[in-house]
Amino acid sequence: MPVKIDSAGCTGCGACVLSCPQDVLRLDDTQHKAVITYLRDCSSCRECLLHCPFHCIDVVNRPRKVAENFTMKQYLIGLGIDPKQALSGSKK
Amino acid sequence: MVKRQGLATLGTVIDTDILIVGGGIGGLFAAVKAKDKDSALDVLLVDKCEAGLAGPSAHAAGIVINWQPGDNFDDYLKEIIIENSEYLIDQDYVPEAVRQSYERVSELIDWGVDVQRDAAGNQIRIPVIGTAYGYGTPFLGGTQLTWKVRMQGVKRGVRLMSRTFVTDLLMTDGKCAGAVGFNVGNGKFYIFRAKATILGNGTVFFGRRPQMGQAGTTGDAAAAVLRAGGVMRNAEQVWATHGPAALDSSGVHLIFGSGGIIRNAKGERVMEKYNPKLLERSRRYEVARAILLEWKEGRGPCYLDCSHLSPEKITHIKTSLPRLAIALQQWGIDLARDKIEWVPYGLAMQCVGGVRVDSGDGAVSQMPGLWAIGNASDFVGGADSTAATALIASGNMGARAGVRAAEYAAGVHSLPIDEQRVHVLKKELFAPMQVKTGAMAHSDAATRLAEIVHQHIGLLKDEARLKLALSELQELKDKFSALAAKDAHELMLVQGLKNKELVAKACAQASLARQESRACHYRLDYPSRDDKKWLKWTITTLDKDGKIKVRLEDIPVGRWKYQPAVA
Repeated sequence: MPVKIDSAGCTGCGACVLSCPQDVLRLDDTQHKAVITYLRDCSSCRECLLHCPFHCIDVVNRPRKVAENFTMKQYLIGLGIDPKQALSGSKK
Repeated sequence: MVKRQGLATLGTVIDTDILIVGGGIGGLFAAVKAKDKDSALDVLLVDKCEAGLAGPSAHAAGIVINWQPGDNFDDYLKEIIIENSEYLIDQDYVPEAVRQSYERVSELIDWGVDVQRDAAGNQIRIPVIGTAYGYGTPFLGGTQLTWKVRMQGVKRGVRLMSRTFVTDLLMTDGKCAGAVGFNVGNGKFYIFRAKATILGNGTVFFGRRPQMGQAGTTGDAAAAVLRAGGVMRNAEQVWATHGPAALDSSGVHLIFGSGGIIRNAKGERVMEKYNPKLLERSRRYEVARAILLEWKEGRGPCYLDCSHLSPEKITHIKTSLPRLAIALQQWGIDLARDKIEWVPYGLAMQCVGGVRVDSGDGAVSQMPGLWAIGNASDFVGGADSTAATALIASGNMGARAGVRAAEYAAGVHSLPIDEQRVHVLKKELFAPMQVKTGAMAHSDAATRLAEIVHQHIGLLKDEARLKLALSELQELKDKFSALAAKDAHELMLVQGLKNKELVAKACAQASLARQESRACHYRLDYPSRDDKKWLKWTITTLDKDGKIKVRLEDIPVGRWKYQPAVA
């Protein structure tokens, strides 16, 4: 989970909701606190973390293994290079 | 034509003098300068997210490329036109844009943008990539800059509307009468009636998933203009930058301006072969392409090597790129010692191909009442990282368009809106919300589109793969009626995907048409540039049956100062 919200510290100010360029966060209707609604669309840009006045958001980057780099895989497939073979030896 | 009461049954009608779509640096400057020109005008700025917080300009790593008095001017212009844009750029545009970059940066500083200064308080300037003559001013973080411009707009009474996706233009008798859109949170439908409309809603980013700051850039401007009967230019020019394989990160100006080196699997310095003059400071897409060519030739992977840099430079890089620094620390990577795998990033159009505009003011060709600025436009034709074509240039184009739009709006009345057209657009827009379960998920379609584009319309193209791309894109488009959206957020994603598909097709067709390599466009089957036959722009339109058409138009180099020897 790249984004974590400490709901005990969250006051529901909405700064994170406003700041997210991917519309990932919303304010919960009942508790009126920030919730991660569309996690799949998160790009770990950290705008929520930077804008939260109460420091209750944490964003952790999981390093993407090179073999998981979707874009690079597609470029290689297009050139007729097997990405499994080509990327298997790559480190971070 | 329909009375206002008819429209009101379809959605919320909003009247304004100037509608600005997109709150990046271009749209924000347009809003400020429109108000400065005529404070009595109503200016409404609409953003898919929040003006000043989204899009590439709000996530720039921290360099504003700009020219200042005392910098080389003539050689810089020549380099931009000849070596950087390879004659694609409009040469009338460049000198003013370069000069005005200084005015815009000075304004930003007056408005409180924090730029880096030396101990004596002088602005720090560093050499930037893509040029032997250009400089940039480091500043502290992307949103710090765009938010300050937003606050200037707020101070002048610009109205702001957030979380609203403008999807299509409304044309009346060949003029732009406004636009339609919806709120991405609650799905409310809006009809904007505007005397003047400025599109500052960016380019297309073809990635499968959002890459930092790029999520909203789904080709909305180009797609809307094509659907409204307008024109794209340079659609074959697909750009990419490069960066660490394990993390999406900006910062190439800083890293390579500081002296970082890219090596291949054999330890060779990659760019010595492809551009011995500028090396890693070559145009970003040139480096991205070089890395891929190394892979193609069996010399991948490629790595960033900073082991030769001084501790001060390493510290400067980490301080200026906090996201990268935090990630490296989390992973236990030492920039001073370890090599970091380096790859080309996802494809985008980034102001190199886009809506055709007639001048540096952003007036859209043959569509009175409409402007397209910054990355939404095509004006910078192939050039990368220059004072006439980078971040501040988008702001400058916005500033100029804002003034022109204000002059225009002050002299016209609102045009009537075609209710039937609004009805059709609304029905098409919301159709995915009527699709039942079991239908196609947006994420699957988005993945498939990204596969097609990166495999076949990417940094290294050829005829067979471009034709394959067109056939695969059509196959994908035929499934679009099965795309389902369960809420307004998903509708935003689906509409963005449809726009991306249209622009991808335009790119593939234009790439097929240009049988040479120039700037961002590289054909493996036509790897050389041919100035004798190909001093031409590709011009892309959509016919009434929804098919992409590409024609060629001579670049008028004959009336300009810089011409290749064969012209």
